[in-house]
Amino acid sequence: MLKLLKYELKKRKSTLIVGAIALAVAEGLVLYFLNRQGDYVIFSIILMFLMAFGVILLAFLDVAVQYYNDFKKSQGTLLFLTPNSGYKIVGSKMIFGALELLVGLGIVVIFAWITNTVAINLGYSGVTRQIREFKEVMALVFGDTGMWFAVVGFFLLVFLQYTASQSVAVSSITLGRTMLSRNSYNWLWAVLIFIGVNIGIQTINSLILVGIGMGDGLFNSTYTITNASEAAEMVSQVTKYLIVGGVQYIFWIVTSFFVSSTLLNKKVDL
Amino acid sequence: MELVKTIDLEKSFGTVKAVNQVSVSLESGKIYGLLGPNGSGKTTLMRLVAGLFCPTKGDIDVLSKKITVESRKSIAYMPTESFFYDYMRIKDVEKFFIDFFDDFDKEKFDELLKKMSLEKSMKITSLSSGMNAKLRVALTMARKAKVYLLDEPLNGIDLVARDAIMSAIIGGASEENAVVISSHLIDVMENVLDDVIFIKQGKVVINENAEEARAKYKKSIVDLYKEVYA
Amino acid sequence: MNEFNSGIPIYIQVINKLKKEMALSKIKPGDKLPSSRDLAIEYSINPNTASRVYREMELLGLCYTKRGLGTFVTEDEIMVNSIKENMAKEYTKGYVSSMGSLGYKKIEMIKLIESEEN
Repeated sequence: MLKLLKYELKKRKSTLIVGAIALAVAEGLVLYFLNRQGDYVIFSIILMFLMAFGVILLAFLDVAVQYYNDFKKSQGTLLFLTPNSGYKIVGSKMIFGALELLVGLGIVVIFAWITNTVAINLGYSGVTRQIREFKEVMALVFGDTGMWFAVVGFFLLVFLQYTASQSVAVSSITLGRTMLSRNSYNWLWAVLIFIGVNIGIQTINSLILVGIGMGDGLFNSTYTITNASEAAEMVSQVTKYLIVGGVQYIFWIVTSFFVSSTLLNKKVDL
Repeated sequence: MELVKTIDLEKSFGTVKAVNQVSVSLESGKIYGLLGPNGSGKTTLMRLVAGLFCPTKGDIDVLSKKITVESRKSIAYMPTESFFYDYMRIKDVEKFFIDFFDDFDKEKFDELLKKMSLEKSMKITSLSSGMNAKLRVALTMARKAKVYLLDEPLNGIDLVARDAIMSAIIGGASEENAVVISSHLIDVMENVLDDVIFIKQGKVVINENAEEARAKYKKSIVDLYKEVYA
Repeated sequence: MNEFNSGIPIYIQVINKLKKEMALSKIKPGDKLPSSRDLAIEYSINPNTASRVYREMELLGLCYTKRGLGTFVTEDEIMVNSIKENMAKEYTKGYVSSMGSLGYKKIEMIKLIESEEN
């Protein structure tokens, strides 16, 4: 497995270097615009969102396109000639995609922290005040350690959500290849499957959340917590939300893994 | 010893039967010629035995067991086109083969590279099609596999490279392994083959010892080929 | 690259080539012959065919195998000379027949041979 991951990395060396440089340049621009003050701050905020969005999108595209090309182009044959089972091959690609995403998001979070610190030092009050207030409320509600758990929990949830996206993409592509192997439009079929499954996932997620009584009142009450019982209620809501989401995403990841691996072993023409 | 056996093997792509009721047996100590024009089913058959394609019907036994992913450890398949990642140099490909194939013989590979006039520092993207073919043959024959499946190893190869490739193939054949060469360049292959398997539109039309076929049909394999596919 | 005639079994054609080399003293009595694998590579033939070449040559007394050391040309000078003689006879037959079909008589043939620069 490690060997497979090693080659997934080698394959993407130039892409990753370009991505890292792009992130560094973006962060440089963010800080530059902060320095310029005034309306330029808007650029900083936009760039920060673009960085997060870019990392998620790049990791997703990287996994999907590389996997698709392994089937389509003859260079994929190198991998399929080896005595690696479908489980190992799919597993290595999914793990690598998840790691790419994790590292990327981690870098974005660190950059966000740097940006925030610089912003405070430069005397900004607007957004940084809101962030500080939010932190104070969170500390009140969750307690100091609890707050970190919640933050990490949300980070993990986002990570799991987009990893699940990648996994569904992998199984969509595999299904596309299984059902329409000779048709050059199997990518279109894969896209349709992907969209369909994603809609399905979101629907199921919403239904479950409503079912356990969560509705959409979760974040409306963030700023109106005035007493201990309301705080406890908030904690329980947040915990339920994280666990329900997390478990579902893990389910989709595992199902995608097994579907893709089994198909790769038995049904797909490589 | 029977190394590979296919039993009523069939592979359909949509309505087309690329391989149709093929039952062949590959024995150790022999060099087989899988002969036929483009599109006759040679590559499909090879990819089935290599475990890359899934049969529509029928079975494949490798070393007396039903074919699995593990079978790839004993089968060395060489596709007819380049199959390397663009970022690689020859030494990267070597490393890959060492990592994933336990039977890869590094010394043998060095020897073959030398005979093919290839250097490990060369980039894959800088190789001509002839050099790429020589590399593919060198990598495949450097494995100590039980069955070698070479898909059109002489395609688009100049005469000098041809000698190097033929010598690598002949040198690699032994009593313990079977070599299957698919080609439509019969005149070059004729004297090297023990057995000939003629495949036409997915079906095996001739499957016998080359010497016996020459005596039986009273013509060279080249002329027999012309007759079968006229 | 070797041109092979399809009418005659490959192993016989290779044996004939090796016989010629012996007659021309290109391989001498007692010389080590290539391994059957190397012979196969050299002539681009099947390794089994190459083995057969040596087996048949051994039966004809043209070579012998020393276990672990390889195959060697027979040291029997009489054998080598008889190959030479047989080849000479074949050439002569061919020459006389060709010249005869041109209308030459034997005496005229001998005159031509004597005047031939060597």
